[in-house]
Amino acid sequence: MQKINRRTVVLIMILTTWILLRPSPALTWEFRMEGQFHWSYEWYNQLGSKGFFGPYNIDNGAGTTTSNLNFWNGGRFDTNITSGADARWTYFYVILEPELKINPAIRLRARYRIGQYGNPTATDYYTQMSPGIDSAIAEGQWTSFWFTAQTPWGIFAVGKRPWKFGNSLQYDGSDSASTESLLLVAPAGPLDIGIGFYPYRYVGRTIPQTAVFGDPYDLIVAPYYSFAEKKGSPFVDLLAFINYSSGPLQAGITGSYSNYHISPDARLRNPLVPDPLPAGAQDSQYSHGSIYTKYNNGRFFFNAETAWLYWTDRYPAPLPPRVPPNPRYVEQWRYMVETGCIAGPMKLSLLYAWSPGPDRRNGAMIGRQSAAFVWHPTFDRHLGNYSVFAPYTQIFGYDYGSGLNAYNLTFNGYVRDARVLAARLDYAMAANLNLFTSFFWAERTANGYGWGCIAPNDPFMPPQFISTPNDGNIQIAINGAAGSPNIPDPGLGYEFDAGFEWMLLDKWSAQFIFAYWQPGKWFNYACIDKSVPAWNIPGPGNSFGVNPAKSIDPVIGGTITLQLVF
Amino acid sequence: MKQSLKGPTVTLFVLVACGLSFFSQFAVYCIKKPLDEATLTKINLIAGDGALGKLESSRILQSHTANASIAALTLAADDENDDEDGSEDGKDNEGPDRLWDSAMLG
Repeated sequence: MQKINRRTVVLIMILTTWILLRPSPALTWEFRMEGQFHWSYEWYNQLGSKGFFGPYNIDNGAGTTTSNLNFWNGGRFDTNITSGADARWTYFYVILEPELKINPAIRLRARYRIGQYGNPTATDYYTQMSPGIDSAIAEGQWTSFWFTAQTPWGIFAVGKRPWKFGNSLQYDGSDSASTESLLLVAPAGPLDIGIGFYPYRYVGRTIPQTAVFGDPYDLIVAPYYSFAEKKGSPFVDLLAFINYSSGPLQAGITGSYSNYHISPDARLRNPLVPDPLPAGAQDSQYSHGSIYTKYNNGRFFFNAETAWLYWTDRYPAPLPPRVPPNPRYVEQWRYMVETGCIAGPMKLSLLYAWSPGPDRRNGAMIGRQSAAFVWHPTFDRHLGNYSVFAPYTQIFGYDYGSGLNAYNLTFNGYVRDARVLAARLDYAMAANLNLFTSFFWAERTANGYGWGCIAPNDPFMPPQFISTPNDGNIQIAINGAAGSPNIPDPGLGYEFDAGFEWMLLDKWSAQFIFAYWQPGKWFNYACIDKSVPAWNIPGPGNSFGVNPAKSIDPVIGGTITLQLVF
Repeated sequence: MKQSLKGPTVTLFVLVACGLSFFSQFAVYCIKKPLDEATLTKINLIAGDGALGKLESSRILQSHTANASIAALTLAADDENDDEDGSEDGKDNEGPDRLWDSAMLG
C-alpha cells in the first residue's frame, strides 16, 4: 500500500481550508425605497347662484328634472354637479417606489400605489369610505414595474415605466404618461440616443360600429374576443429619440410611428343579441413626437417645446354607419414657451402656450382636424400636459379640465384648445417656507363648437347628447345643437392663485393653494341655460337652449395638502 | 349697570390671544430659521417645477456650478450621499443615474 506523501497531505489541507474559508461573493440584492404619503382637503365654491347652466334651482326644460343640479364643480369629485354652491372632500393616497439592484448591471424598479379599494386607476382613498380597522381601504396596486440593464451597447429597458420627455407638453411621465417599449439607449458623450419598438400592443376597442363617435384607442372596452388577435396590434410600432444634456442646456427630439387594421371578422356573433349596426373595417396610422429645449443657468431659465400628432383613419367599403367624413385626419401641433429668472429668494416664471381645437364648418366637423380629441379623445388623455400648467392654474386646468373634460390618465385636468398667458412668482420667505402667487388667462384657439355643447345628464336632454339618466354629471358634445352657429366668443376667463409650501418638519410639508377663477364668455354659449324655456328642444327660437347674455359667478377653490416624503 | 365679561367675550379674547401668539411665534420661527441650501433645495423641489419633473430647482444650480447637466445636478442633489457602489466615497461609481433614468425617455 502506497503511503501518502506528507507534503501532499499538507497541500490537501491547505486547499480544503481555502475552499471552505475563501471569501464568497455576497449573493444578496440591494433594496432601496422611496415613498410619499399625501393627504388632501380639496374644495370648490361658486360665489353666487348664477351658475354655468343658468340661475340655480330653475329648470324650464320640457320634461327635464335638473332643477337641483346647480353648481358644476369641475371633474375632481365623484359627480360633476352639486345641488349647493359648495363641493369638498378629503382623501389620501400613498406611493411607494422600490428599487432592487440585482447586480451592478441590472436594476428592477417599480411603483406601488395605495388608493381606493376595487379601483386600480389612479384613485384616492376618500375619508371613511371603509370604516373599521379590518375593512380594506385598498388592495394596493403595482402601477409600474420595469427593469433596466446596463449592456456594452447602452441601457436596455423593458416593462411599464413613466414616459418623461421634454417639458411634459406631450409626454408627462411625471404625472401620468407611461411607456412599455423595448428600448435601447446608447450614451454618446452628452447625447442619449434611443430606439425602441413594441412587438405587440393591444389596441383595444376597435370595431367602428356605432353611430356614436368612439375612439379606437380605448383600452377599457374590448370588442375583440381575443387579445392575441394580430389585427388588434399595430403592424409597425417604432420610436426613436436623441437627447442632449450638457451644462445648463438640455435639448432633444423624439418621434414614433404605429399603424393597425381593424376588421369586423374578429367580432363574436351572437344571434340572440345581434349587433345593432353592422360593423365596419378601419385602417389607421399615427405618429407623434416632440422637440424641446431647456436652459437654466441659475439666474435665467428658458423652456420651449413643440409637439405634434398626425393620425389617419380610413374606412374601406362597406362603410360603417358613422362615416363620413372618410378618411379622417388629425394634424395636431402644440407649442409652449416658458421663461423666467431667479433673483435671491425670488423666482419669476412666465408662460405662453397654444393648443388646437376643433374645426367645424356648416354645422359639422370636417374630416381634417387640428385637435386629436375630436376623433380620438381617449388617446388624447395619454398625451396630457398637466405638469406644464399645474403651477399656474388650479381651477380651470386641474379641476375643470379646460371645460372640456380633459383629464389625463391620473385624472388630473390638463389644458386643451387654449391660448394661455400665465405668470407665477415664488418667494422663499424662509428656509422652510415658500410663498407663491400666479395669474392665468386663456382663450379658445378654435371656435368649432356648436352652441349648447355642454349640459347636465337627463333622460330628456337635447338631441345632440346621448340620453342618460339624471346622475349629476355633465356631457359634452362639441358639435353642439344641430343648426347652431359656432361659438363666437373664445374667452375662457382668468384665474388668480396664491398659496404656500411650508416644511413643518424634515420630510413633512404642508401646501395650501387658494384660487379664484372668473369663467369667460365661451361658457355662456357652450353651457345650456336651464332657465331658457324648452332648453332641451334647441332651435333658433330659444337660442339653441343657451343664454349668451347671462353672467356666471366666479368660482373659488383650492387644496390643503399634507405631504410626507420618506 | 356695569357689564361683566361673559363667556363668549372671554372665548373671543382667548382665541385672539392664541392667534396673535401663534403668528408671532410663526414670524419669529420663519425669520430665525437659517437659509441653508439643502432645505432650500427641498423647498424649491416642492414648490416649483422640480416637483413636476420639468425644470429643476434653481437652488440646486446655485449650489452646484459644475458643468453637469441639469438632470444630473438634480440627481446629484437627491443622491449626494448615496454610495451605491458601497465604496463610501460619496460617489456612485457605477455610472450616472442619467443613464439609468434614460429608460424613461421613450
